Amino acid sequence: MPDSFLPPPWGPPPIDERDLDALLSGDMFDVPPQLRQVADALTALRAAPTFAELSGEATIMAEFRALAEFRAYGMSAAARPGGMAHTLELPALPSGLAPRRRARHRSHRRTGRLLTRPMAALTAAAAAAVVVAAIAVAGVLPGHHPGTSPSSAVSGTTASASGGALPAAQSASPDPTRTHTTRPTPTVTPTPTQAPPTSNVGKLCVDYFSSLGHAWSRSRWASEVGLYTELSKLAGGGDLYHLYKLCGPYFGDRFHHGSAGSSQYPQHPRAGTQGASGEGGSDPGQPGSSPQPTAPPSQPANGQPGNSQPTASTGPGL
Amino acid sequence: MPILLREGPLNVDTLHVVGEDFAALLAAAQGGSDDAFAFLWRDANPALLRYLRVVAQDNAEDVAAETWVQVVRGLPRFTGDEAAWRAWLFTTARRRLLDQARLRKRHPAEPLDEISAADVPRTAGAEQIAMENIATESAMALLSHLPDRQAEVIMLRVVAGLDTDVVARMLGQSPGSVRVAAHRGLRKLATLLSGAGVTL
Repeated sequence: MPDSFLPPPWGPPPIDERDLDALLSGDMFDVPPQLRQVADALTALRAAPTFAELSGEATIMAEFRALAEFRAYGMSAAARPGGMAHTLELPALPSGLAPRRRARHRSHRRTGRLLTRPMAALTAAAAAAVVVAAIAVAGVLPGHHPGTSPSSAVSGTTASASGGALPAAQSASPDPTRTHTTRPTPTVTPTPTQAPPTSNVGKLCVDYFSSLGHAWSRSRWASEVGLYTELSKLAGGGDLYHLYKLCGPYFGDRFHHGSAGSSQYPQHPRAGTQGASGEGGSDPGQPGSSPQPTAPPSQPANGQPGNSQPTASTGPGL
Repeated sequence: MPILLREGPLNVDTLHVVGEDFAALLAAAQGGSDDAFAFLWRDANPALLRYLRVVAQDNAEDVAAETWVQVVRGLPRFTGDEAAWRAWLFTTARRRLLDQARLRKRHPAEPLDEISAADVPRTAGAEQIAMENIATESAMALLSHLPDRQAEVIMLRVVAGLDTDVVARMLGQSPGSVRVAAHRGLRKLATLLSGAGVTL
């Protein structure tokens, strides 16, 4: 005889998931006891419809009939060739007319300014090129001297004229294309030991050798030719030796290739050994300081090199 | 002929209600037959209303009406068997429900009056119908105690007659999660029923 009537400690069996699937699928056979009430609830959910659940039939049937008639009318109207239709049919456009494009938004529309941007850049570049060309033609470039205009150089005016030859040449042949700008500074920088080229020869030398240091241009070429012609006449020859011999005193160290203190080039007539007229001083326009147009006083007649060698320290320079 | 939601209390077929005549009924309804469409409507509307009453207690009738309007408009384009038809119907209802929920969230409104099911006039056999209605109402009230997801899954599986894969597609979940939610709902139902001592 049992001591107690308590239920077994293991309790009811656990719910199997297969039983739950069966309930969901509607299989109510062999339902476990613990799920019988659940099965009844699910059955109640599937019970027959009530009157309230069928009361809205009239409303939906009216909607259905209206749509069915509309569809039937539309199908019949489409089948009719010349029947009256509710849809307005527009005539087809002529073949030559293109369909109108949809208007674009203002922000998407391209403006004329966008198209002129490259044109503006091209115009600016063209204007700059014209300005540069004009300047080049006019000859107003760095290093160019107003006194060495092409017209004056070609005409062969010699430096034997007075110190105002350059200004005279400048005034004699005015070039309308030239623009008077500030006189460009020569590229050859003077050393402290060199005197500035105050004589006409020195000026010609400075101008000529300065022009050699610039990039070639047509205007410069004409002036260089003129300077070269004049210097050649003054030096007694067109070769570099004569030119160096003529211009050496004005450039000092630049033309020295030997030991310090020695020079292979003729000495300047107004060097320290020759006279007290001015060692490296400025002698603007003194007749005595102006060299002869054919040859400098220090230059030998035969023009042999090495006869006169201007010193770097005494020769005037830039 | 009274249309029952299911054939019997013990062996119910949740997948096929109309049965073999569904294809013919559908074709006739798409052709404009009022009777055919009425048959389809009577077959599906009670299940639809019960589902909506569990998941959307306040405006179930409004959502059901909008659902049927959409169904009527899209009926000529529908193709499929009865299972697809039910899936389409309840999917449309669910979408309508979500739209209603959004609209009510933006424009909250309270109904002026409510007519309970007991006030609706009944025909002959009202006692039996009332008993069944009470059982149905009690079952639906019992499901309202479950979490929303579990109650919805059970209604779609049991009342709408949709299988696990279709329900998963409707809810945007995996079939496994749908099955787990259904099992948990049923276990909780069993706990509620055994604890409350409710008999249906």
